Amino acid sequence: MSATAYDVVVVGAGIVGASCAHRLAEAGLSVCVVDRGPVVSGTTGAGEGNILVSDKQAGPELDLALLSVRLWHELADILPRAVELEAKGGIIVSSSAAGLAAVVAAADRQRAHGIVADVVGPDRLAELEPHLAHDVVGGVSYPQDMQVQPMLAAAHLLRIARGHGAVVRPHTRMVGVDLGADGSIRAVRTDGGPIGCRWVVNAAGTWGGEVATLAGGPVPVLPRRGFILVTEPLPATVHHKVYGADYVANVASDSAGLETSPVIESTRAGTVLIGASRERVGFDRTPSYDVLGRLAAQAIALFPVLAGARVQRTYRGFRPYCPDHLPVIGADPRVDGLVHACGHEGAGIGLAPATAVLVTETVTGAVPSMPVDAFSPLRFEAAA
Amino acid sequence: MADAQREQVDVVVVGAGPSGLAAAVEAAAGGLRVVLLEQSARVGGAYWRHSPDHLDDLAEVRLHHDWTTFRRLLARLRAVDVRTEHTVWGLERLELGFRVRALRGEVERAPVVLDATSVVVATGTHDRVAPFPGWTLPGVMGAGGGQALLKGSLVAPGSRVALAGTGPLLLVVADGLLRSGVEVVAVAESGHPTAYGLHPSSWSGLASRTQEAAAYVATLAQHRVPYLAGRTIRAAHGADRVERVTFATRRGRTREYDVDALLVSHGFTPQLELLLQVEPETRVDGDGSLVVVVDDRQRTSVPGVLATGEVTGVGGASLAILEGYVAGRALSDRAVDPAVLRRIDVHRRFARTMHAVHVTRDTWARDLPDDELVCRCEEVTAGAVRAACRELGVDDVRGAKLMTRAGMGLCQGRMCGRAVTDLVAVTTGREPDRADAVRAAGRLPAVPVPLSALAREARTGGDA
Ligand SMILES: Cc1cc2nc3c(=O)[nH]c(=O)nc-3n(C[C@H](O)[C@H](O)[C@H](O)COP(=O)(O)OP(=O)(O)OC[C@H]3O[C@@H](n4cnc5c(N)ncnc54)[C@H](O)[C@@H]3O)c2cc1C
Ligand SMILES: Cc1cc2nc3c(=O)[nH]c(=O)nc-3n(C[C@H](O)[C@H](O)[C@H](O)COP(=O)(O)OP(=O)(O)OC[C@H]3O[C@@H](n4cnc5c(N)ncnc54)[C@H](O)[C@@H]3O)c2cc1C
Repeated sequence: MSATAYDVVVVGAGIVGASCAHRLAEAGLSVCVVDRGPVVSGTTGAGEGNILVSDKQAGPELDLALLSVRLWHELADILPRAVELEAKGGIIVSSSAAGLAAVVAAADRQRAHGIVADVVGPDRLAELEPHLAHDVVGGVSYPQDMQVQPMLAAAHLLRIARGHGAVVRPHTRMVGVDLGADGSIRAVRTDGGPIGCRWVVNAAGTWGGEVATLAGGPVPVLPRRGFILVTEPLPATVHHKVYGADYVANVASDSAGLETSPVIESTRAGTVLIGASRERVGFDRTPSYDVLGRLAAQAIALFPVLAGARVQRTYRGFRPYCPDHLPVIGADPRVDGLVHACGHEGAGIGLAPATAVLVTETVTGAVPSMPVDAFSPLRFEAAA
Repeated sequence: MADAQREQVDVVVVGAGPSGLAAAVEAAAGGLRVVLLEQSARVGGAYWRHSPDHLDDLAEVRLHHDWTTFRRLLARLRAVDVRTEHTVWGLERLELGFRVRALRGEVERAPVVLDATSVVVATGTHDRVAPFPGWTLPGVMGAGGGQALLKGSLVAPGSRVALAGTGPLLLVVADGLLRSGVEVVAVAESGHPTAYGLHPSSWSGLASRTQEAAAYVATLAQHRVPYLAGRTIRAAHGADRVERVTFATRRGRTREYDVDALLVSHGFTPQLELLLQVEPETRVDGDGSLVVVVDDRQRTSVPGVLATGEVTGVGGASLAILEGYVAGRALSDRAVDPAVLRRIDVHRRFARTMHAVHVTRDTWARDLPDDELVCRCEEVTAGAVRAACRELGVDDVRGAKLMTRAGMGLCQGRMCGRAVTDLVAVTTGREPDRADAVRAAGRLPAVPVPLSALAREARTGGDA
């Protein structure tokens, strides 16, 4: 057994692990974060930074998103300007009357659950986004939607956690756990030796299934591949976060096939980020020119001025998804001391703060801020 | 995909430097249909950078080495479909063979797509410059760039020029400047070339190279240009452009020179971005560069993809030509002269010695002031990278890029990638590994591509 024992070892230094480390350390617990790679080397470094309520329908994920948006506003006080946290607002637009009707109907349902959603006609739209294609007939604006630079946010949360005494150990892979005579967790085993602890937080994102199995409490987390295009810096072209009407349908879809729908936003550096594709092809890293081409075509369809803009780089990442598209959050009754915080699919950046609060409440025994049953690690066993 | 017409050929060679030219003519001589794609307007690569105005041969001979070899290759190039101003941005593995995507023309950037059974990647190198105080001042430039200016447009980089860094290139460029009547005030070589003497076996088979080096040193002596071994560039000074440079010995003794230009070279960084798109086996070479692994027929670990010249390891033009020859023969299933393979071994041995002699010590990464830039495109300072290491836990080049934007600008880290890697290593004490290098160098597209060109890759139209 190693000399130092911690209250909690967090496995994974992505946005979720960083958020958990921050909350746990702030609550006075001693925390060690391990990651098999450098910090923020997982999916958090390969995604966009959307913090969205607009793409969510009534249910547990929306509740988690609303709590998170509130928490992101609080985090704005402690995070430096450099993390580019901005309540920029999103707009879902449609080029067809039928598409628009569906978006407006969805907005009506969302409003009953605390989402601010304003229908905007073509004239107002042209003011909000002057470069939008002329065939866009209207849309719905979501002022609560935010944006952040996720890598910097995660790294700064880890920095703040260190200020509260947390220890961060990159290049340290978790390979198992040691249990005490009573069956409770005593240590996390790593390739750098054991690290004594009472609790283990599984924040391993897309590899959360692997870590869960190593810890003795398996949960099904699978990869859903996504590509993003990044343009050269441009003069201000896209002012909000703009999504095509079918984006929401794709996010919720259960299809294994390829889905692409435009999600377009600019960053402070002037680059424009163009997403998003979803497909289930395992961890296949091979670039798909078809997908890249579709993303480009869709972006031009929404913003014709982008046609001449040059793509400087493309990202590829694997979203961590569970079969029912909800994350796994909370204590695992099968292993005393194991807490899950993974499987956030395409919303892990946005949902990280609320996840961290729920994890901290689990560890400290506090009353949870919201019901967590829907995120239970046992729900898959029941279904089987 | 819609309209860009697609052609099917036997071999696509990317890059028309010495090795790409040799590979292309040799493969074509074997009866294969070969297309040679070159991003610049002229063939010849870094070695034969001839002037656009048809200089008479005499002038060319003065400025170029191996001009006869070049003439011979050009004569045989008629059997090759040569396409200049074609920049390749994508290399894709198909079920059978490969798809090569390029943009034609600097202005129109029209998409061009070629399918090939085999591909030879001969994309050469970038200049490597280790930053020092004042390195971004006007008048300070890469030695390769300075030489290109002289060879390509016959413009001298200055009238009183100093050179600094390490490697044989410093001598080559100084020689070229002196022959063009430019005053060279001093050459600071951070290595100790006398150490070549410690490895006599490495150059025993290379009489030509030793003679060449001796001739350069003689030219310097004849012009009374000091060749200062063990001296590094401490700083370049000047208000609007470089006016003075300080060279320092290892012990810290300094000496200043008045100049109006400073040419710097710390070796080369092979351009692997295209190759990495098909994920071949790679290794870290003696000079710290990431290079692709090839067998004795220049084949990479990806069947059908060959690599020649500096992408397999920095070793000079003769080696590049020989490798190209071998690749072209291998592609057309013709026997390779065993003497050529032995020559290649001799050159590679020499290259290993060269890497050992001409090392860039990482002291620059400790000494560079916080306010000095490391990434020019995104204007990221050394201090910002160090802060990311200390405060944000960054310990690899990818992390530095994500947290500071170093390497995210137009050059996408081609220029600064190696410097940022070294700076992170010195700041954190963590040695970079090969995986770091692969992550940092791999990119799609290899060069920026207009969204409109990319959009043509969609198999069905966008459904927005
Ligand atoms: C193209 C794309 C776009 C996206 N856009 C958005 C968006 O706009 N908004 C949004 O909210 N989300 C978005 N996402 C999703 C988001 O990126 C993820 O949900 C989120 O990053 C998950 O964070 P994480 O911390 O759980 O996982 P990660 O960031 O992957 O961190 C997990 C860490 O665990 C480490 N690890 C794994 N196994 C072990 C082990 N055995 N031992 C030690 N360490 C281990 C890994 O190295 C990794 O660093 C996008 C994703 C993709 C792919
Ligand atoms: C100034 C200078 C002087 C030198 N002097 C000597 C010397 O005296 N002796 C010696 O042995 N060596 C010398 N060298 C080194 C020598 O030039 C190289 O060893 C040699 O050129 C390597 O050949 P290569 O074919 O590998 O690459 P290169 O000559 O670099 O050719 C690569 C070619 O690929 C093209 N290319 C790159 N990317 C793409 C793309 N994406 N699409 C299309 N085309 C692309 C480039 O434009 C270039 O033409 C010198 C180098 C320099 C810069």
